[in-house]
Amino acid sequence: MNENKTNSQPQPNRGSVASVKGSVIDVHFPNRIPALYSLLVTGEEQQIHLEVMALLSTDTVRCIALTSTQGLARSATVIDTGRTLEVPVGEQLLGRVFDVFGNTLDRKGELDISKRRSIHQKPVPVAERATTSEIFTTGIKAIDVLSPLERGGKAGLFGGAGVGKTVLIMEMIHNMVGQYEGVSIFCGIGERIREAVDLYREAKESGVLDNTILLFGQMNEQLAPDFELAMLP
Amino acid sequence: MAEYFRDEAKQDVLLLIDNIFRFIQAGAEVSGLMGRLPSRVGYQPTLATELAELEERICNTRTGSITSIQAVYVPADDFTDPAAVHTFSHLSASIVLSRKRASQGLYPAMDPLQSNSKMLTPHIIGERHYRIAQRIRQTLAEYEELKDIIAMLGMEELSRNDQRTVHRARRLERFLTQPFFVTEAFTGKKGKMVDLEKALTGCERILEDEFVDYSEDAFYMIGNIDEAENS
Repeated sequence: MNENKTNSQPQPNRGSVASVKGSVIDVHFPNRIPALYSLLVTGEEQQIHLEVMALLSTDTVRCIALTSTQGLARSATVIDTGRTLEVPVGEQLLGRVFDVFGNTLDRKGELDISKRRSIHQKPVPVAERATTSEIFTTGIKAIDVLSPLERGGKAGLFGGAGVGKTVLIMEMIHNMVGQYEGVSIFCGIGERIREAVDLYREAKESGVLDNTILLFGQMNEQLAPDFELAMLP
Repeated sequence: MAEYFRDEAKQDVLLLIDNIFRFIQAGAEVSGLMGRLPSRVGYQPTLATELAELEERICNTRTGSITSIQAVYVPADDFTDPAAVHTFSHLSASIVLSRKRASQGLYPAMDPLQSNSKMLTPHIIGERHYRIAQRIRQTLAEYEELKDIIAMLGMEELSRNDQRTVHRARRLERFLTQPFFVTEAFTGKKGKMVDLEKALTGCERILEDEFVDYSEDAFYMIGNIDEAENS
């Protein structure tokens, strides 16, 4: 272990692409294989990101591509970054819009954040959990009276398009920010780009943006599972 | 990001996810690509594990809480779909939005009879709130049953008791609508935020038939019950 670590510091662990099947990539690592969920980069400008999903043999791993694999060829060099997919965290994130890699999408410039957390984390142990049965009031009559939400609980909102789901969610952000001075994180996956833009504008106009982080993975992207995990760290 | 605010910044977080079904869908895609055999209804064999790994990270600690509201798409309105069933088991409250109510202009378009919450027990929300909530449901359910008779025979054929139920239900339905802050620009109405206590009082007074002389419109898109009195 230690030997490996010292080796990998100056010289990153390199492998080569063994096969490309759509977004499933097999990578051959002659020296030592990367750990599960490691982030690998490849491509001419290191623009293709891969995540290790399975260890096939002592020298081959199977990865899922998080970006488009266009132009990727067999025997292309792959570099093991030695870390998992990470997203930035911190107060500076408030009021901004991100994708799964923690890149900003709102053209307000890159953030200078040194603090990052892996998207893969263990759940909180039982002993650390708090069990309150407190009501979370939303200020919306119908919900508070007939279907009160649990503070720290999970609520499901079932509905098709155009019944006011997004409006209800926006209203909840609005009311909670005023009431609790907490933080709202909105995570839209597989949404239409238009809806994301609408939401951003609405948040800005209604003044809730300063306490909100928006995360979007659009329909044309292919990394939804990691995307949902990205909001958690 | 949410865990950071809970664990390190020690704040309460509201996490809104739209849409949790996409997470399952994407997991199924990855599972297929990885060559795992599909399980029930073509979902990944690890559906329950994957969803639990996500949902179990959304929890309370001593330092802060994460409250999450998740939009759930139900494939083909089939509530026995594995994706919906597994999501249900993690939720403590479910709010069902219905197209019918939206088309009637009753916003938020929540279906009061299908929506439910585990918090709706007397020892958590208190005896009074519980009693009022149950009576509202009962009234609305009775109204639902009477609708067929009204459509065929008209209001006049109902017994006095039933007529009173219908009046109460229609006023309750309207009282449970609310103007939103975020839609001020579209509706031209100022958004309202209503205390739980005031909302309960309003419902209780309608149930006690205090407002039989008021028109139904007086209750539509208002905040507190006093607004109906002043109109």
